[in-house]
Amino acid sequence: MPIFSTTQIGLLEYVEQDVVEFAEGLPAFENERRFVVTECPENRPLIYLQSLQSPHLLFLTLRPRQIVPDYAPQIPPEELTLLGLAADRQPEEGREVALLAILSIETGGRVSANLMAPIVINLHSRQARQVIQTGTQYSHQHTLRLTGGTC
Amino acid sequence: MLILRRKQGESILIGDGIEIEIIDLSAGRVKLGITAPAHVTILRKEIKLAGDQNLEAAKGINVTTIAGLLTHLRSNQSY
Repeated sequence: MPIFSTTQIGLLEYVEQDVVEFAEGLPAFENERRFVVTECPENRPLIYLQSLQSPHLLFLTLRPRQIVPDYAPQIPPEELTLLGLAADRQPEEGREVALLAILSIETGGRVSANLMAPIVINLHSRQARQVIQTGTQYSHQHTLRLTGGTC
Repeated sequence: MLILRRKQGESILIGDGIEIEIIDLSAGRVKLGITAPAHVTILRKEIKLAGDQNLEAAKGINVTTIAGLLTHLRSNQSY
């Protein structure tokens, strides 16, 4: 299995099935195309989205439904087409696509999730895009309810 | 904020060399044609916001912050 040396989480051993390709990168990271999605018992419920091009580029993510149980993004038809999915309906999470919400740890310990612009992964082709919803009820800084003090 | 009314086919000029033309209006959407010098960046605002949020998300992650976050998430039943 390939091993990638990362800045934040050390040596990351992964399988090709866990690699996703962002054909256009992510906003502000347009040249970052290859990432590995790491979900393991040691970091549950976090899912790591680690760049395979930049050792220092790591996003912490959660499944949006762990944050908002009835989360239902509206992915525009043109985005579905670019992901190779049927454009006339929303894809089925878990069967056709995986969704990830990127977390931000802000100064003071507040943690927020970007529910406005989820990562959408086509589970068959492993193509991924960060889909920016417009006119949505979901915030790009949805505060997580955390118990106890600050992180 | 300056507010102007324009019809389809009309334009506005901004400074030296930027022109924004109203190309089409339909169903609550407007199609704009923008002419600008090559050094001027033109972005949909939501993409700029998403980019700023991604930059924020990529900052300040280390073993300590990850461990702290995991502790908080695991002590909360809903995660």
